[in-house]
Amino acid sequence: MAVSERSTKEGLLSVLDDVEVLSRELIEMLAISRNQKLPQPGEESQILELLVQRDGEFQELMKVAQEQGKVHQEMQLLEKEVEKRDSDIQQLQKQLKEAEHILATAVYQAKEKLKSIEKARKGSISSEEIIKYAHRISASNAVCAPLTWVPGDPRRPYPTDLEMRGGLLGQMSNLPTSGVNGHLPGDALAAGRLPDVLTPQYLWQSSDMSMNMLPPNHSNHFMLEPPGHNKENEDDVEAMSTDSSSSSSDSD
Amino acid sequence: MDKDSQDVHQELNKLKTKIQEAREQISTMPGISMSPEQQQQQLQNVREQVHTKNKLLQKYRSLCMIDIPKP
Repeated sequence: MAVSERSTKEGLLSVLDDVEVLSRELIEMLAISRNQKLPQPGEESQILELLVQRDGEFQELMKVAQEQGKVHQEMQLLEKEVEKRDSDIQQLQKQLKEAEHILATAVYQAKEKLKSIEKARKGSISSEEIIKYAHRISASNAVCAPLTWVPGDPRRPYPTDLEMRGGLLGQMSNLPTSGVNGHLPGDALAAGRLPDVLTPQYLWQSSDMSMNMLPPNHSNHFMLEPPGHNKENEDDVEAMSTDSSSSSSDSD
Repeated sequence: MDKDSQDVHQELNKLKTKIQEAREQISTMPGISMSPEQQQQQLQNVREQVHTKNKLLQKYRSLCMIDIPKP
C-alpha cells in the first residue's frame, strides 16, 4: 500500500538512485576484473540484469509521468475556470447584497409612510371645518392688512384694549375705559378726523351693529381726547402707525 | 593501469553528472508530485467543482427574486 501511495517523482528518483549505484558497481567490477579474477563470476551478470530491470521500470515511470503532465495541464485549465466562477459568484453576491439593502430601505420607508397615513387618519379633520376657520381668521384682517389700510388707520389685526373692554367680559367686570378704541389718547380716530371707511370693523362687531354694541360710555363719534395732547400724540401715532407690525395699544 | 583507472574515474564522474541532471529534470516535471490515482481523484474533484458552480450560477441568473403576492 505504501508503494502505491508513493508519488511518481519519488519512484523515478528511487529508480535513478538504483541505476546509479548498479552502474557504478558494474563499472568498478569490470575495471577490477580486467586485472584480477572475480571471486563470484556470476555477479556481473546479476548486476547487469538488475540494471536492465531498473531501466525498464524507469521507462515505465517516465511514460506515467508524461501522462500525469497532460492531466496536470487539464487540471490547471479547470482550476482557472473555477476561479472565474468564483469571481462571478462573488459579483452576484455583491449585487444581491445591494438589492437587499435597497429593498430593506424601501420597505422601511413604506412602513413609515403607512404609519403616517394611519396617524393622519386617526386625527383627521374635515376640510369644511378647516375652511371655516380659515375664513374666520382671514375675515378679521388678522393675517393681512385690508386693502384700504393706510398709516394712521387705527384698525389693528388684534382686538384692541377698548374693544376688549367693550365686549361682554368688559361689561361684566364694569371696567373703566381708557383711551378710545384701545389706542393711546390723541389718536387720529379719537380726534374724529378719519373718514368712515377707516372706522374699525371687526368680526365680532358687524358694520351695522358696531355702534349698538359699544358700551354706553363710548361716544359714537369717538370724540374723547385728553386735553392738551392732541397734536403731539397724533404725530406719535402717525409715526407708530407707519410700522404695521408694531403694537400701538397699551394695556392699562 | 593507471590510465585505465583514470578513464574509469572520468567515466564514472560523467555518469554521476548525467544522473544528477536527470534528477534535477525530474524535480521540475509538473504533475508528478502525487501518484496517478491521487491525481485522478483530484481531477475528478475539480471537475465536480466546476459543474456545481456552473449550476449555481445558472440557477441564480435565471431565478426570479421578486415574487408578487397574489391578492
